[in-house]
Amino acid sequence: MDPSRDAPPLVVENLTKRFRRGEVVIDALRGVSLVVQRGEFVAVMGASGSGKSTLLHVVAGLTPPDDGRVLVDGHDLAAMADRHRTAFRRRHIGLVFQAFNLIPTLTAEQNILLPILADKRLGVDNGRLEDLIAWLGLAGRRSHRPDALSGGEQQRVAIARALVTDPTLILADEPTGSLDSVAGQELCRLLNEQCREHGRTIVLVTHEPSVAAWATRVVVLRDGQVLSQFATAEFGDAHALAAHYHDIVRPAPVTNA
Amino acid sequence: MRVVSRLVLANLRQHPARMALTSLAVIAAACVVIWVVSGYDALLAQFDAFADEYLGRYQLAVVPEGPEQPSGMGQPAGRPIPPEVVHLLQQDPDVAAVDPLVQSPTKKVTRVGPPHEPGESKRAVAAGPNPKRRGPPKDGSSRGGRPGGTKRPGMAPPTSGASSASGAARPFSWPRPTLVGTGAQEPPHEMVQGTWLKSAAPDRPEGVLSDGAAEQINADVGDEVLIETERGEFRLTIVGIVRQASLGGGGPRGPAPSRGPAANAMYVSVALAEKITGEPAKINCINVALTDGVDAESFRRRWNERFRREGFAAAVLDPGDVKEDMEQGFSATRVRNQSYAATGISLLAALFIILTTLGMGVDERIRQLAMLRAVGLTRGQVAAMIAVEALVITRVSPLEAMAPRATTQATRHLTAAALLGLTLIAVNPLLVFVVPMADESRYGIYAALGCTSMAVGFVLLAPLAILLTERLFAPLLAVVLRLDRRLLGTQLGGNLWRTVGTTVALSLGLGLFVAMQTWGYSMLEPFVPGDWAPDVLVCFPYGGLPEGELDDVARIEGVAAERCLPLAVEQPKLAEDITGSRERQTIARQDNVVMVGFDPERALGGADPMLDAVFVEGNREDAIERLRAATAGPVHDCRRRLAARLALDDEVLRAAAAERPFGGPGFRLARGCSPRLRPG
Ligand SMILES: Nc1ncnc2c1ncn2[C@@H]1O[C@H](COP(=O)(O)OP(=O)(O)OP(=O)(O)O)[C@@H](O)[C@H]1O
Ligand SMILES: [Mg+2]
Repeated sequence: MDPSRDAPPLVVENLTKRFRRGEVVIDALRGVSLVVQRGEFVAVMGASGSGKSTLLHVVAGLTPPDDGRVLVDGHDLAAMADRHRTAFRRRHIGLVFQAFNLIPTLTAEQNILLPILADKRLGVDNGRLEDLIAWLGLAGRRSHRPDALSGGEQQRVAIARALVTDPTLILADEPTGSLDSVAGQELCRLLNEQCREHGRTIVLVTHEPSVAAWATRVVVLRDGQVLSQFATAEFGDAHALAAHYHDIVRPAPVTNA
Repeated sequence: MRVVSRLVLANLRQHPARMALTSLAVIAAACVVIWVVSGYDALLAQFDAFADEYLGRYQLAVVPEGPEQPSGMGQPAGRPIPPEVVHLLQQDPDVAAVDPLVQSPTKKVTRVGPPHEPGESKRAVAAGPNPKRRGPPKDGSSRGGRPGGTKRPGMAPPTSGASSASGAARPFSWPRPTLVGTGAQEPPHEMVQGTWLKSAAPDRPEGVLSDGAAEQINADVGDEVLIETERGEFRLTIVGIVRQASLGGGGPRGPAPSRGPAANAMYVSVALAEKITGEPAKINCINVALTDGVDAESFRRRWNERFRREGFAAAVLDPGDVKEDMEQGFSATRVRNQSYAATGISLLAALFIILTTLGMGVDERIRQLAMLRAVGLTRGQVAAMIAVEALVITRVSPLEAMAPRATTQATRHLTAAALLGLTLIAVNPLLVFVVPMADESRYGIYAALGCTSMAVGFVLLAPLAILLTERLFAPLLAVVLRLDRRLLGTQLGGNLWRTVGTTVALSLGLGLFVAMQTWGYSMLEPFVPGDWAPDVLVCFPYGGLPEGELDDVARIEGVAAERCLPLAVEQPKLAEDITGSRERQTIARQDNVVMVGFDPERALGGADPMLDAVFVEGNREDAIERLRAATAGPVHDCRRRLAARLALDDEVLRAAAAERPFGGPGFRLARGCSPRLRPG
């Protein structure tokens, strides 16, 4: 029986991750639990060092958790052998980072096709590739190398690559971090469209409320724990969302005075 | 600055191996530069200055003809210049002063402190050699005693090299001060202290030192010094010091001219020189000062012509000859050291290139690789990529072994280029080892043709190697790793600029290394003693081992008494230029030979001969018989090209023998006995 049939695309249970640097032990994640439903667009927010990237990496199976479980489409990544985990990631998870997404020696198209080229079982679906390239507005850029592309174009190529295997889950770590607001908003629009029209599940890490406003739900982390969760629909616009977010993360005032 | 040093230190901590190699390479390169520039060029430049000052107030020197005075193995005296030459020169109106020198080697000159009472010094003149002093010297004094300088290293006969401790430091050991008897009225060089020799023979023996000699023995004006010669010991008082050109700031190092006036001298009157040496004065150098306005070059030409015409074995030297002399000896000794150093450096460079390229490749791409992992490449795939890069870089891939698919025109061209490259690479070893050629052209051909062809060859090979990587190796690897070959191909191709650079750099390094080895071995080959050589050669300078003392040597512990063969070694000058040394001197072409006299029966005869030579021509019995008859001698086939110039039964040493009490009129190479140093 295929567990992926009815299971939520992402289930995170009581996730713990520690980093040891010599004597020092850093608790990057302390019992994080999270369920993301199909077609959901979750924005993960939190102060710097709160464990956002770590959460994403563990979810993607790039680093193993110390405790807890991650189920992607019902599959426990930690239980897989590295080869299988890699193949699973290749086929079911699309990853987008803030920078250094692309191989500088490959053209845009080759970069997009990278996951497929790495996998014997995956074939290039030319129709799908054309659609993707057209949808992301990269038609005139396919034979360019990354250094000939703008930052926004580079991120769109990265998104195309994340989508090329038609994955269930897209994980994006501050994809708009190095873009200006126009390019950032454009990127968000494209991701939002993927959720709404293709039922894609997206988890996106961001600092910017204006980016989080495109999501359906916001998860706020602090010190490796989930501090709060709320639906973006509760707030009319990005400003209201930003105000609320700042209320949450502001250090608790000293009450007794 | 602090930030920079911190960054550097941090980097050093991160990549200790690379930093160590980098530092080593930089240091080595710096050393080479310093060594070559200061050690060689600067010294050559010094030769100029030295040669200009060498003759002091004189413009020319007349020396016995030939590159060296034949004071050979243990022979103290040089061949003299006939006194008529002095008279002839004095009659020339162009000549302002003619000062003949009587030069003879000393064994040792030491300062013995303040002067003693006049009568005391006479006691020290001993007749005959002091037997206690015989035996292998502790230093290079036997050779260094030659007037004016050290022996030319390239010409050192094999015996000196093998004579245990005495041979090792010889080529560059500082010569003992040479005893120079002179009747000059004025100092030959500028006086820096004291006075020049008084013309009248004083009741108190006195001498003047060159500043180099004074520094060497730490003597001052007024000091008494002890001279030890073949004949015994003699004390005299230093009355003056002259400034004389020396190399390396007066330090006891470096080459010196092999003929002409001594640079490191103890000047005494001719009468005193005779007394000290116990021999009648023999002129072996004449200093010549010209009158103002006389052209030294035309004078030199005129007199050399005259000497030749009138049959005087003398030649006029000018500073240019002196410089040439020194350079010849100097470069020969450096060749081996240079090849060692260059070999080491090219190895280091190759290692450095491989390591840094690999390191940088991984380093630069660490993010890329992490990203590739994130995108779905397995560990194996990523590792394979790095491995392939390393393989391509170090070229230990099966690339060359694979038959190229000559599908396109380009591939065909590249294949042709590679084949040509391989052929060109093969040219060099073939040139050196196989192709017979004349000596004159050999070095030039090797340098111009061999090295160039090898460099070009390696470069020609590179493109095909790269193409093969993309065309053949990438798909093969892709199949093995179940990876898309386009991906791998582009990955490999994308890093090709680095690969190409590395390949070229490595090829050049490798080429340098191969060239060095080929060249080095081909040069060393004739100098490596073969199985025929005895275990030990012991040199007895200064008159050799007296009669009857051979038994004492045979009784020394560790010496097999019956396997102890006395040799008489002589290095006479060849009368005729049979080796072509007059065209150009090389190691193989010299105007002298090392002659070894021995008991033919003991040396060559019997079932287990001492000198187990291979007879490339003729046979043992014939050789022994003719050797016993003392009309013929075997010749070393030490250099086949040299031997090729010597036909059997050539009269090699006729005139040389006439000059010296050696053999009879004419000395023939024994027919068919040409023992060879090494078979093959
Ligand atoms: N590889 C690692 N080794 C050691 N500590 C790490 C490592 N990666 C993350 N950390 C630590 O874990 C904690 C969480 O880091 P993480 O990168 O997840 O934060 P973040 O929320 O993504 O921050 P930012 O918003 O700045 O990207 C931090 O204290 C960080 O120092
Ligand atoms: Mg982060």
